[in-house]
Amino acid sequence: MKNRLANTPRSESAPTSAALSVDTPPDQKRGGMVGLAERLIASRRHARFQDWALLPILVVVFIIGAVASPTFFTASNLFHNVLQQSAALAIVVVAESLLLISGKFDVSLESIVGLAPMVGALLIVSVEAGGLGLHISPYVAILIVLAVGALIGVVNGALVIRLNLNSFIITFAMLILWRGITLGLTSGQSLSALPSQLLYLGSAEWFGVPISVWLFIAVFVVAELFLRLNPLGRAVYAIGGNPSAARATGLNVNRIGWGIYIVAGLMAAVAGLVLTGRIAAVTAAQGNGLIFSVLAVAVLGGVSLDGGRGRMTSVLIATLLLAAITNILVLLQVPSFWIDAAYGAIILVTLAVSKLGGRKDGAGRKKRGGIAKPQQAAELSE
Amino acid sequence: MTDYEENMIPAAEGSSAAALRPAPPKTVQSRLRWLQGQGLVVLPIIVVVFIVGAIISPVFLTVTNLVSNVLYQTAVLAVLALAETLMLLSNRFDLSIESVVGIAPAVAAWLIVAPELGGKGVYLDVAVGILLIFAIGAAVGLINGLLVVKLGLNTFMITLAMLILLRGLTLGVTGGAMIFNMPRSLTYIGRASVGPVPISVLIAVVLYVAAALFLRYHRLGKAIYAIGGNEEAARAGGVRVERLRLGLYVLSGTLAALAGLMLTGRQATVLPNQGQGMVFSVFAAAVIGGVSLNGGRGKMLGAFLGVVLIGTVQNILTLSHLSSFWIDAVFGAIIVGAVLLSKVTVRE
Repeated sequence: MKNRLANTPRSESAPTSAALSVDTPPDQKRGGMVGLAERLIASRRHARFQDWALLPILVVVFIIGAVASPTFFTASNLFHNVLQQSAALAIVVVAESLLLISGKFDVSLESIVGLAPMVGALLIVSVEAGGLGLHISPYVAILIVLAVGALIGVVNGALVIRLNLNSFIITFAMLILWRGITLGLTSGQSLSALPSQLLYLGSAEWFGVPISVWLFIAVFVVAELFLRLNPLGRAVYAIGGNPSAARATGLNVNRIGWGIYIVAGLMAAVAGLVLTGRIAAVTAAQGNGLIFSVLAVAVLGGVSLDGGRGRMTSVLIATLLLAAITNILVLLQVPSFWIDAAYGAIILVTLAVSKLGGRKDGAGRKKRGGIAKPQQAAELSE
Repeated sequence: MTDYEENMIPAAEGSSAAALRPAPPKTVQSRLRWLQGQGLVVLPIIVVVFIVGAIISPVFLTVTNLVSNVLYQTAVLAVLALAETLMLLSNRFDLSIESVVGIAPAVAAWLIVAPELGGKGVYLDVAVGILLIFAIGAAVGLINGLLVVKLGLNTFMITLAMLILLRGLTLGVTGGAMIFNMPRSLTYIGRASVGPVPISVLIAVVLYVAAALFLRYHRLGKAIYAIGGNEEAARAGGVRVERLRLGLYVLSGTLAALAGLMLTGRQATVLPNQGQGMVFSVFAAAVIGGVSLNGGRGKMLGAFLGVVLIGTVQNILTLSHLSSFWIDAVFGAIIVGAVLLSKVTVRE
């Protein structure tokens, strides 16, 4: 069938609008910890085997890593290399997953990772170091970094939701634009000598664990709880699975969709700060190519490109899987370009194996590998 | 308008059968829609860009610049956009073409060239090397096709993973270094020209005309629109959907290999990052040219004009006295503008 509406009765794997109204009748909602626990237990019904399908592979990779290199399975390596180095990726992965679940795309997130910290750094750094010499307070600069991220989210949201442009192609175009602006602002130079406050997120530690790792864990936990328990989180699935049905149940589809763009932009700006903190500089190419990994991880984690489906638990496992494999290859001193090749191979093999292994993928099976069609679905709903 | 375009448009118009053309439209809106249907909606934008180009630089509107810069440098993009347009019409993607542009010539050159120039030292025969280039492209297309068509995996994801994989392999094979000093016969397609017109431009034009005629008149060409528009209906109508899709993937990989050969010839080297980022321009060209991302809608002429627009804009940006660091930003802004503008007239 041509459109997504025809495929929508896959709601059993994702709480779409029907599940939304059944599971959280407003009058029966209980507050406090008891209510929270009840809802958590109830939501287990939606957890499926495939949420954990990648876990055995992750375990195998960890065993191989421990055998291959004595350094791999040390706390220092796991926290400071595996997790810290993939923290920025993880944050953008969660942001992109939210967008994908809601049936949209934003490829330009990778350019926010570069542009937002670049604007902040420009306003701080002195003229001779390549900045504007405004010497603004680092705290204000951090706010500006976040504001830039949110603002780009507003613009992208406006283009996709208000003007109803195809989210894939317009954010592709915006990516070229924002990336070009990042390059133009500094004439391709890197900005270093940044104040410690700006680097804090990416370099400081709490209780011996890098803050970026805390952030890594926090975004996944918050996103999982939000999607599973919050009515708005359920709404994200609903508008991605079947926008017209979601609209019919009284959800403000446009406002939620726009909100997700803004949140995603904000998260990408945070990821930019994490990356900047880790390398203690903003480079003109920061974030370039990141979106390929982000989309790969999200889809490996079972997030549907057609919207309406995806679980943070399996996205987390996918992120850890890629991070661990990259780390093991680095420890084994494999040249970086072979790591890239391995990365692509792993994604191909995992996707193929999971398909051959009979992982039921209702939509994929029916569509025979079709591409996302948010436009068409939107059109049909009018 | 260049000589070249004046030649091109009638040639392609011949392909849009006069019999099927609707009655002359009346209002501005319907006129634009008619242009859109014919894939001609970019034409007014191209005219404006040409006027701007002529104002910005006196060099722009010279035959030398238009032929040996604009067309010569966009021939590679044109071939890739043709491959992607066929994929999009059938409602599938192929992102891996930009990596095929790198890997196919890289492997061949690596096997041909002497070790001190970056090769392996196998001294493969050049003719075999050229065949190998196409074989690699076809093989990549076949693997993509099997994964997408036979296993039913997501086209976007598979070809993206393939892009990442092949990009890594290209770097691995070349060791991150350039391969240069290649035999003349390997660079022939990219370097030689017939009179003032480079052979790669002629190849691109011939391919577009052939593809346009194929899509309009050939049974399989019509079937591509059919499977892109409504796969089940096409299947019911007797189209062998799987086989056609598989063939399109192989064709796409082969065309990308050709583009790689053309690019290698033009540069006279194989760069380790050859082709990187080209898929952005390819998609931009196709979409600006009115090819639908939802399959089943679009014209070869439109894709071609999209390519011409992008090539012209890039050329004008190079000729202008703009700081090279701002070129990307201006290019991005123009793409965004073109996508917005095409939206005004697209009847999705």
